[in-house]
Amino acid sequence: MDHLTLEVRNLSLFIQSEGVDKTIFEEVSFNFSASSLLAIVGESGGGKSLLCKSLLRLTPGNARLSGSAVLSGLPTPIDLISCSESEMESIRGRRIGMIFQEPASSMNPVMTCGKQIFDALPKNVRSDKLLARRRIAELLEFVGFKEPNRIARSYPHELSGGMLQKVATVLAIAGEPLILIADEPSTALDAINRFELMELFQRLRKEFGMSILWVTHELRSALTYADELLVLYDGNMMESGKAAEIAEHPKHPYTKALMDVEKSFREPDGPRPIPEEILPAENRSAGCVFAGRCEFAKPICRIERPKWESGENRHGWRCHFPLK
Amino acid sequence: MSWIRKPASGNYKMIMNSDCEKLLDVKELTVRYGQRKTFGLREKTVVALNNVSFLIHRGETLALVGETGSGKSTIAMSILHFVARHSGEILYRGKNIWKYKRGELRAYHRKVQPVFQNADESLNPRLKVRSTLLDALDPALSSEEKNRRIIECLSAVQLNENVLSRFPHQLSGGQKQRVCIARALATESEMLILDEAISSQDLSLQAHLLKLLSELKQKFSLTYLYISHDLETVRVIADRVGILKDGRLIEIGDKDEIFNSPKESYTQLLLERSRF
Repeated sequence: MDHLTLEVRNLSLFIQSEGVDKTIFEEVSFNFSASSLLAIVGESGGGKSLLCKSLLRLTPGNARLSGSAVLSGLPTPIDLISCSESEMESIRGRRIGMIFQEPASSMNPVMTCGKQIFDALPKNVRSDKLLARRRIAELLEFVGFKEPNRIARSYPHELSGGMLQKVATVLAIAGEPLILIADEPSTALDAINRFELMELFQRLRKEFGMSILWVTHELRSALTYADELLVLYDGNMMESGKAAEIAEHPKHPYTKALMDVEKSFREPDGPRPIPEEILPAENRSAGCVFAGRCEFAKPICRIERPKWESGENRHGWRCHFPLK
Repeated sequence: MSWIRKPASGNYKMIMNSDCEKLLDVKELTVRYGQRKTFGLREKTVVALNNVSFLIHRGETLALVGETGSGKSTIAMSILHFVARHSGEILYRGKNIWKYKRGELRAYHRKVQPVFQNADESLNPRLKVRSTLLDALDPALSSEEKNRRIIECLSAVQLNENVLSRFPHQLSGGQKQRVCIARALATESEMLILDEAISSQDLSLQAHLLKLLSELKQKFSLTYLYISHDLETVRVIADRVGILKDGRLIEIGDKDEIFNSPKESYTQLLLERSRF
């Protein structure tokens, strides 16, 4: 089986608003190898969802992208940022599938789930109706439905949230992509459905060699399931590296703060949030974006943006005073 | 604050051990939805709630947990008198809400306020925060009194006055949800129905809001019906927990009892899976 790798270098997104370029995220870099699970974690408003959409060039009309995202493993490597729209169309759904944040709003309400899956199948499968019908049933069974034909005949409004999430997963993998982008697929799911979804991701990796880019704000789940982690805060890459290593030795105070919040939910005194909410861009200092909330911040943190530093095993961080 | 009621009691155990005041009594509630014939489908009936009974005492937080489609939100909608029941009763302070006259229902809606998951959909995008809060206040109040109440509600949810002149799209997710809570408080409510009110927020914001809800409960002597699929937040906020599955309340008990020794296999599975 072919394997695709994605190499993202200095990817930035600016959205023009009232004549001014607003930075949504900047200088994001990561490598995404075959069969791996990369989790992007961070708080709401950090730019995680737009980073995913940028890889498929599904950004708003007033957005400007810079940097590169090179997809290798094809006859000729393609830069997703600068390639033509027709090349991009051959990539969306076919090479890279995506599960959107709200499954209900990513589906057509007046079309049965089966018809929508049919439309997402590769052309050679669609041309044979019997094969297509069998493939739809196989895919629905693969994600855990016991009555695939009934689900195929259902409209989205007839299914529960957990079921819709599974159908959304089928829609994303129906085109047989080798890379799957999942934008907070488990946020609205209960513990059982969330566990089943994560198990499904593991099967997709093992059985189809699929690589998964998973956006979440649940750090504990990310550390449990992901191979690599990328911590994003207010559009800035704060830390990245192997999930196991970050779990043991987080370098950035923000990563540590996220871990502490999660732990505090089970402490007798109750949860302890990270102090202060994210400040609007106009109130931010020129230094580290996290400085206003960081318990270890020193004067330099508010003046100078820290440089990206690299350690062993591709572990990197952006902090003047990394944790020991 | 003049309109703050005296707290019913400092803590839940004391309330339970002393004179338990029943606030809301849901008795054998059954709700059925008839699905219309659409897109060639046959008409069918969906039983959203099947014989559900539970009590909520004044000052406690009852959490209802279950997967999507288990009937959690239907319970919220029934208590809010937004959906018709097929059978059963909902007694608020001993009186059946289905027998309320129009004036009584209006008064009931001021006392029992919802806070929904999606603050964007709960707030009118064309109204500034000041107008949103003004709409919730008693129209009979003088403008001075209204302004005072608005400031009090905002400070209760830890927002400052400069948000009053902003539209919802100019607020962060956390600020919007705080405005929704402030609006619920503005009516001098006794009970808040928090329907997945903090589920979609990130963990730090969840922690902020959980802390805020605990403070408000003490300060205003509130009672909460906390509806969520997320057991981590339930563990923090609930006094008692009810587990819903396929429209049935399969288990209900004290939080410690449910989390430490669940009886139903579904609850056990739910707790086991939540550890990942």
